[in-house]
Amino acid sequence: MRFNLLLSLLIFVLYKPAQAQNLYDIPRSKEFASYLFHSQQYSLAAIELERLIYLEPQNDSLRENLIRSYSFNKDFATAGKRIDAFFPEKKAITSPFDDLYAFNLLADKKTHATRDFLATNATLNPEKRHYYQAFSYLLEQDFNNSERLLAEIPKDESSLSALRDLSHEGLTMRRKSPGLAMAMSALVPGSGKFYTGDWKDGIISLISIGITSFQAIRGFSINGTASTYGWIYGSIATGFYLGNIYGSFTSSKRYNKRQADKLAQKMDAAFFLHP
Amino acid sequence: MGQSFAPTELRFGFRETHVHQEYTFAKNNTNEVQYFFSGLFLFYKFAISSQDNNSCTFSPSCSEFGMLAVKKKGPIFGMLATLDRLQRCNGLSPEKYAFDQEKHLFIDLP
Amino acid sequence: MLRFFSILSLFSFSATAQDLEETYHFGLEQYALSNYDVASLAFERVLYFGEGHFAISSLDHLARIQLTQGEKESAVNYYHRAAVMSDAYAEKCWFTLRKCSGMLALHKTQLALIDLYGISDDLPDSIVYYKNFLLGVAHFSNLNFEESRNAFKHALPASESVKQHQLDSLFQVLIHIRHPNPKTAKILSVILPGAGQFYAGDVKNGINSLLLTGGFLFLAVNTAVNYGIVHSMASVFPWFQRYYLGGYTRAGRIAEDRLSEKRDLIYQNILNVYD
Repeated sequence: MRFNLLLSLLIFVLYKPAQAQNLYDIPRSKEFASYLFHSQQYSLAAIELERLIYLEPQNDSLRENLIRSYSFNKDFATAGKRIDAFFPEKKAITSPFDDLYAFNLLADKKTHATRDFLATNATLNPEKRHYYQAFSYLLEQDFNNSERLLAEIPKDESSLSALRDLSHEGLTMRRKSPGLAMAMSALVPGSGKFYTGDWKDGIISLISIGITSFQAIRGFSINGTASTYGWIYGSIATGFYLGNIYGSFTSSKRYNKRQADKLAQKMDAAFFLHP
Repeated sequence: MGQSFAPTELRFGFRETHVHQEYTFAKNNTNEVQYFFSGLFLFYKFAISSQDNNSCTFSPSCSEFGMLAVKKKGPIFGMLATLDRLQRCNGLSPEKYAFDQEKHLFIDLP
Repeated sequence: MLRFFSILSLFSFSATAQDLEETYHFGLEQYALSNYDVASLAFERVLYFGEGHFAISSLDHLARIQLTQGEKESAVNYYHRAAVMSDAYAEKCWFTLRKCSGMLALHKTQLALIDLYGISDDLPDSIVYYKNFLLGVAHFSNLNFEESRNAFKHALPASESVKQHQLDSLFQVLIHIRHPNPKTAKILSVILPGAGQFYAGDVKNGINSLLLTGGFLFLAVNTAVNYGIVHSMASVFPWFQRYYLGGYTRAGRIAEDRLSEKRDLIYQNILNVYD
């Protein structure tokens, strides 16, 4: 009995310094998680924070850092799922998770879900709500709705000015008509590409079609219709001519896509730089 | 410190590896038209293109583009797209295409 | 009751408290099991809370994890940190050498050479041997075969006469690899298309080049006779020129390829000597 008492005392004494060094206790784990988070090792930070949240389920600052870790890691779907688990009832959501939830939904391109969430939510401040609503329309390239929404919102909300510019740009975006480009190239080879902005390709097409047709005509004029030379160049010239008409069509499509991509890039920049 | 002198990381070759390209997209044919164009393509790659300096400004090259286009859009539109591509293969509009850093070529998919 | 307590305290000791050493050993265990994510987190934790031997060894293991995952760049960074952190000169040099090995694998030969030349020869034999081995690899990459031979020979004890002899004979073969000479191949193909390829041992491309250029030459002559010399020069001759030029540059490249193939074989055999 006495021996046992002695033993447990001994263990307790040994245990003391060991406990002082415990690297997995909550304060040290928090410190370590914060280091991982601030040194941008987000995937490792998420593992550590998940463990901490298991130990302290109601700690909001840990939860916020966890969501941000997933977001920074571009794992928007997991971030959203995690908020779902924190707040099974979406009406009970508190700041800043309402903001983070809308952000992650939009970053995951779930525009409809975002608008549904914003419609039922009452905690988010109006400026943020308007921002996310307008942005969901922009992401869908639905510029009519975004203009309508932005017109209803008071002009003093400064964070929305970037969105107003983007919306206006989207609405007035210049597009090239594929039909017109094809018709132009059918009349004068290469001219359709002048119209769509690929003027260097247009010049090359004009020259190459010109030279090959000239060769074909020369071939036919020397040897008549029996001229292999004429037939070869004739088919090359026809091929180039038809190809160029088709190319004018794709060129106008590419032009339109380039414009849309440029706008999408600007939107991404505006969204991810938004605080 | 008891590691081997020649760890696997140093087992590299100095030879510029010309990775023998498998043109898988010319293999899985579903109809006679595709067989015909695949044959044409493989013959061109084997006998003609192999004797040429690298002359195309794009990746995939014009012949590969042609093969892919015929498979994607059918023989007529595929050929039209290829004939257009041959005229665009002039290297005058670098600002309009993405650049492949590894191959040093501009990217243009059918 | 007391026995129960003593057992409980023993268990709680192993279950909750984990000091630096235990965390490190946990990392080692997970590393051995190839659980690299868990191991990384444990080693990062040791690195954050600790210093000295455990931290340095953690860096070493983090570097090894990166190497197994093919991330040579970040392995080099970890080895660099390990070299900076260690106090013992021999250990510092060892980690610098591991870093150099990574840089050589990344083909950053000149940078590796700078570090290698900075390491003194006044160190334990194993480190000096390793340094000379890496110098040998670096010089081989730069095609300085004489210096490479010296370095490789100093990477082994002089008493190992069998291996020394093996190295000597390998380098003897290497220095005499001059066939096929790229310049000769090129000149041969300028004179007769395909001849350079035959000389370099590539029959398929030789025949191919001969037929293709021959065919275009025949076509050019044929067109010149039927349609006139201007026609032929304008439309067929460029094709002849294209494959003629292509043929002889390819011949040079084929010869170069053969040469480096042979050199690579020797290099692999040199590495085998040290296995």
